[in-house]
Formats: sequence, C-alpha cells, structure tokens
Amino acid sequence: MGSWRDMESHVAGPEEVRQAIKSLTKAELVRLNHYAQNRLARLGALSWAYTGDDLLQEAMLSMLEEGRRYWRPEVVSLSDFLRGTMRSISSNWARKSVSDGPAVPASHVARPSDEGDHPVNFFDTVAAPGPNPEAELLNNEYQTPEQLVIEIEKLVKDELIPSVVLDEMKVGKKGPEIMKALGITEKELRAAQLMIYRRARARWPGGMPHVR
Amino acid sequence: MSDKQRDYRKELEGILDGLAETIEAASPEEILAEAEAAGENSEAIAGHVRETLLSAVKKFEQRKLDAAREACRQRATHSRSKKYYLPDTKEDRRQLLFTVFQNKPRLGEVLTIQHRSFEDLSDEDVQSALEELAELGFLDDWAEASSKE
Repeated sequence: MGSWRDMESHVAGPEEVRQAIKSLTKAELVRLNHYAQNRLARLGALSWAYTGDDLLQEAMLSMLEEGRRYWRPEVVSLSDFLRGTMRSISSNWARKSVSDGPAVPASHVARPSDEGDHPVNFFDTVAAPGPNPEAELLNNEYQTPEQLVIEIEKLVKDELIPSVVLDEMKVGKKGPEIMKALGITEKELRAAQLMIYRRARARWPGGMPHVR
Repeated sequence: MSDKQRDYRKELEGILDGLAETIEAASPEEILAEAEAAGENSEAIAGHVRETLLSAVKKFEQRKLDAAREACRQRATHSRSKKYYLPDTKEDRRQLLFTVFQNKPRLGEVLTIQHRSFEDLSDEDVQSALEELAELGFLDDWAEASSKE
C-alpha cells in the first residue's frame, strides 16, 4: 500500500478506466444515460448538434486527456465523476454556443487515420451561413418550450404535491428551498419529484424532445 | 401570473434542473426501477452506454498512438542522416528490444498499445520498432557498448 502522497497522485489510466466501465452496474449505466439526456434537453435549442452519446464520450475523453480532468478512483466513483463532468461540459457547451454559435464536440473532430489521411478541414465541418436544410427539417420536429412546459404540467395536474412542487421547480427553486416554501419533508419532496420524473419518462421514454 | 409574463424557456430550464437533481438524489436502483416502469429496455440502454464509454477509451488510445507516431515520424525526418546498427539475428534484435522496454517501460507501453503484449510483436514489428528507437537515439548506449566489444 502506497503512502497518502501516492494515493493523492494516483490518476486512473486507460486500462483502469476500461475495467471500471466494465464494472458499472446496469442501474448505474441507465442512470448515466438518463442524466446525459437530461443535460442535453437542458441545452435546449443549442443541443441540435449533440446527442447524449456525444456528452458521454466527451466526458470520458476529457477524463483521459492529460490536463483536462482527473479521475481519482479512491476519492469518487466513476459514475459520480462522469455525472459531474457531464454537468460541467454541458454548461460549457451552452456558454460557448451562446457566444460562438453551436460548437462541434471535440469527439467529432476528425484526426489523421492510420493510412495517413489528412484530417477533414475544420471549416468543411461548419455549416455555411443561411438556413441549413437538415436543421430546418429537425426544427419542424421540435417542440417549443411553451408546448413542453404545458405537457409536463398536464402530467401531474391531478396530483396535489407534485403539481405544486413542479410550480416551484419552474421558478428555479432547488430542493431545500422547495421544502421550505411548501413546508414539506424531504421524503415528500423526493416522492413528488420522482412522480414527475416517472411520468415524464413514461411520456418520453427516449428522453424529452429537442426544444425549438 | 398571466401567460403573457411567463418565460417558458426559463420554466423549462427550472424543471430540467429539478429533474437532474432528482436523478442525482435517487439511487441508481431507483432510476432503474423508474426506467423499467416506463417500459424502457434497460438491458439495451445499459449495453449501449457501456459500449459508448468503451469506444471513447479506444478513441483516446488511438489518438495517443497517432500522436506518438507523428512525433516519431517528425523526429526521424530530422535525424535521417544518422547511422545506426542493429543486431544481426532476429533473436538478438528481440532481446535488445526487450532490454530497452525493461529499461524504459513507458516506451514499451506506447509501442505495444496495438499489439497488447510484447510476445505478439512480429519480427518485422521488432525490426521497425528498433529502427525508430535507433533513429531517436534510444540505442546509442547499446551501439557504443557493441562497438567497444
């Protein structure tokens, strides 16, 4: 067993990460999937260029690439680390997309192949100015924030506590603030949030639609 | 609050942040139960996520390998004029490469990423690895010792 200094400096390498991925349980993997979808939905109109898989891959790459993020297995589980990383990356994408327009995830950037092909010119990967036919088509399949909010409200309109909890969530209140505002216990809050969650998953099993 | 004053985008963001909080607060088993209750194929989702994560690791290793190759290629270009001598027999060349990897394990790690283990390296792989190492100057000590014998 190494000293605490060794422990502190231990950063997981690819093989250790690979083994940790193989050890993730089905429940942990499903939770990661739901979290990735949630963060993508949170990006709203900025998320058209991304999928939940992009976010998962980006989190993993940022963990492995030197100088970006370091996973210390002794300190945090892989599952918790990836969730924290996805939260941070999706916030960065949102900030960057607002300032520069939708960005291309690093996992999408082409690299030279073994045969020595040159990487695709970055500018070839950026859409030309003006309406993009693909984005236009997708745009027609999207819902507006108003449509989505109204649909979510309908999901719990007959449930007293979940509907008032939802009202508090809409104004941006977090768990403790909601409990204080409504005078409910943590158990009641969690039960209400889980009901909203369950009904939203049942309504959109593959994750919420993109927002226009 | 009248509908005219409602900021639906902000409301939706609040709901999604609240749902993210729910996912974080719940145990993985609770989320799994919710997914299965909603009729999701949890087995397929879990398999897909695992593959996605593993493919990211593979992509990272490939990039690292590409970068190492490129660095070798560039250094080799600069030192092409340098002469080097390798052992005459394939057994001796393999032994030399083994010795280099033992002395510099990080090199072995990079060069065997593709092959997984030293034993899997073909004689041609050994030859080309030694040539690259020689061009980079890693065999200078050996060359010096050999010339004195």
